[in-house]
Amino acid sequence: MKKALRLILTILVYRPLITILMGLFYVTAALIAATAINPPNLGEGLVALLIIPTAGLFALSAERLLALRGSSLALGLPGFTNAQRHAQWALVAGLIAVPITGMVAVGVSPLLAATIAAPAAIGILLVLRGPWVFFGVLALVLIGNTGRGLSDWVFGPWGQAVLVAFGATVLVLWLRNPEKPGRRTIIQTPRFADSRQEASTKSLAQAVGAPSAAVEAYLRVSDARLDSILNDLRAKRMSRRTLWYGIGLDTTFRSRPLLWQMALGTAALGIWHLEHGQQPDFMAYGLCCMFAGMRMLTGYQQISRTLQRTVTEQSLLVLTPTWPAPAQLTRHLMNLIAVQLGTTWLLWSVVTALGRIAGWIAPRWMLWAATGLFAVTVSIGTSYCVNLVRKSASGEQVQNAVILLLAVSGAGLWIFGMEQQSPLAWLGAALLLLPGALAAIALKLRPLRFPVNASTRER
Amino acid sequence: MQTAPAFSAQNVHKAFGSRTVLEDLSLAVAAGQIVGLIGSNGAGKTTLLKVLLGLLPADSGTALIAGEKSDALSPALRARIGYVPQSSTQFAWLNGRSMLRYVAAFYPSFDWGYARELIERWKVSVKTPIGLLSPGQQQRLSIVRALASRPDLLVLDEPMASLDPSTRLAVIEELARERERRPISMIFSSHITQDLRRLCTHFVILAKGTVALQESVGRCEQLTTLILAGDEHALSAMDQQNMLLVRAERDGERRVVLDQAAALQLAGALPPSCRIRDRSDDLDATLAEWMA
Repeated sequence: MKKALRLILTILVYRPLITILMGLFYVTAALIAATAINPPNLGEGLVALLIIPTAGLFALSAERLLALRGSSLALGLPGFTNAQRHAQWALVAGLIAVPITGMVAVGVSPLLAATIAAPAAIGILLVLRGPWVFFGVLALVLIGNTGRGLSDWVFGPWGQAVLVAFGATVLVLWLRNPEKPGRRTIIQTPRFADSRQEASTKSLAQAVGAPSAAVEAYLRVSDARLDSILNDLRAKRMSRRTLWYGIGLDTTFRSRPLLWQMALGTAALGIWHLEHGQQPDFMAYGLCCMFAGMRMLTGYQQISRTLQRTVTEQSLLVLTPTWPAPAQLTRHLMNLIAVQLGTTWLLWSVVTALGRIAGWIAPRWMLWAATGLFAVTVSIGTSYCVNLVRKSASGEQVQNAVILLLAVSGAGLWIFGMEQQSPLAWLGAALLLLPGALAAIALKLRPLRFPVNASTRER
Repeated sequence: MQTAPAFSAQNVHKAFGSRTVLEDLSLAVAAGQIVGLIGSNGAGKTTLLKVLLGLLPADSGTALIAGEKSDALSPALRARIGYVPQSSTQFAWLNGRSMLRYVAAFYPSFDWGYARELIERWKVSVKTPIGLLSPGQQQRLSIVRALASRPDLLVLDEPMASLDPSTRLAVIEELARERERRPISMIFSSHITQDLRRLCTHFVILAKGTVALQESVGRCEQLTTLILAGDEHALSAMDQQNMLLVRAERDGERRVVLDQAAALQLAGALPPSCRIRDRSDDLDATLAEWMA
């Protein structure tokens, strides 16, 4: 139990400001309960107030425990599974059981009080199953459109019963989670290792009492991967994975998540249209397209952050005699980016085609969506080019936001101009294409800088 | 035929935003020289080393390694370079053995026998993930990686910062042995001047973004620091005669570093309104004065 408490401490100090802010919600809720016992809507008010901290703290905990679990498997730390299970129970007791008991004590209905299990479940799912939460929100929008207000539904007895059942199910699944460490996680850990995880492994080792006894199992898996990479190198093949292994960048294309996302996107469209009839409706399709855009941006962040935090490793690799020339390296990176963006286009194409066949999507929406997705593709491509050929990465976030804004405005103007038969369409097209064209020229003139943005660590 | 310097920089300028780190810096490290690079924190040592290695583009000026431009080194020359970066945490997600296997695959001449010998002698842990090693262990591993490719152009950026005294000594002895076995050119950045004196043939002192001194260790050991006090005009007049190698004014005193013969000459020529308040022949104190 002592290890579990140290683990919780490790989780809570991870993002102290957020933890403190959300803790304040609990304090506020307690104050309301203490000063306003038995007003007509006290129960609903308390539940509403506790949604944010409960969801947030569980999201933080789930994310942190997930990272720690990956580290513990990678490092073969003994005793971690038990410590994690105890830490999870302690979190459930502290963040759900205590507030529920308090609420019941001040006269709130037990069923209503138990509803705060639902935000905890959403927090966990947000980290473990991001796309599911997205489609969950879609479902809530759907419910909100049935004619009754969402709060009527949530605070009605049936709504509460469903939410409590849903929350309890997710919590039980989460509590059983430590018993099922997947082999895949072991293999992925070295790829996804980052500075945050490195920092966490030390505190983790302290929390669960390193040194490791089971590290050999990890080494066997790691060595097997390295063997195949070294075979590539001996055969003078500079494959993507060979190049990016040294900076811990995951380059594997996984078809299963993509197929799941295609199925979920199509299912979401189907559910929406079951509720709203078979007439085309832009809301659900628009949300699916927005998800595709978010998928692209997430992929960009993963590659960009990995490149920026591994400057030392890149420095060592670039000085090795058989490391490829900058132009060849640029080609490999562009290939990696193309796969990342291309799979999202594939996802969108499949969902759009199926939706179109079913008659849920009007033809001109396809053009709108394709233009929007193209704008995101152009802005991401431009951000890569501009950031990776520059000497310094200062102001990168602002720059990326400006590029995205330009491209999206261009797309909007183009669509508006086309719809209205206005010359504004040309201005939109120019806004959409110009940054991308300039970035392509920059990349042609100056190959990718490797090490990337080396000056960021000098500041 | 004249051999190209092992490392050279000509009029290099490098700034990060509004902060200038290297200003019109020129430097030449001849083949076979072991240079100790000294400078206070923020003097630009790491930046200079990165520019020399082509890892950081200079705003202007040229950096060369063995006559080749640093930003376009040939594979043959890259095979001759060994680099120990300042940050000892490298490839934190791998263990030492995997890291060495991966890096070795890029070096045709990687000497596994030598690597194993160093790992055993320095007691380097190669089974534990690097991110979990102590900074000292990480540093040892980094040095093993750099030496095992048998480079003759070595750049070490504060490699001793995390090492205990006995390992420091062992590393210095190993580098000295390597120097005796084969011709090596080396730039060794450190704040520990004792280590540098054991190993180096020359000192380069960086101050205010430029090379303040580049001299042989023997010549540096003959330097004297004087703290002069007295009439400011008389001291300034001596400055104008260019008698003083380094000057710094602090609290109404003038600190100068000059060789011992010049110190004697100065003592004799000092006007009555001036006096020597303190004198030191200690090299460490002199170097510290230089960097101040």
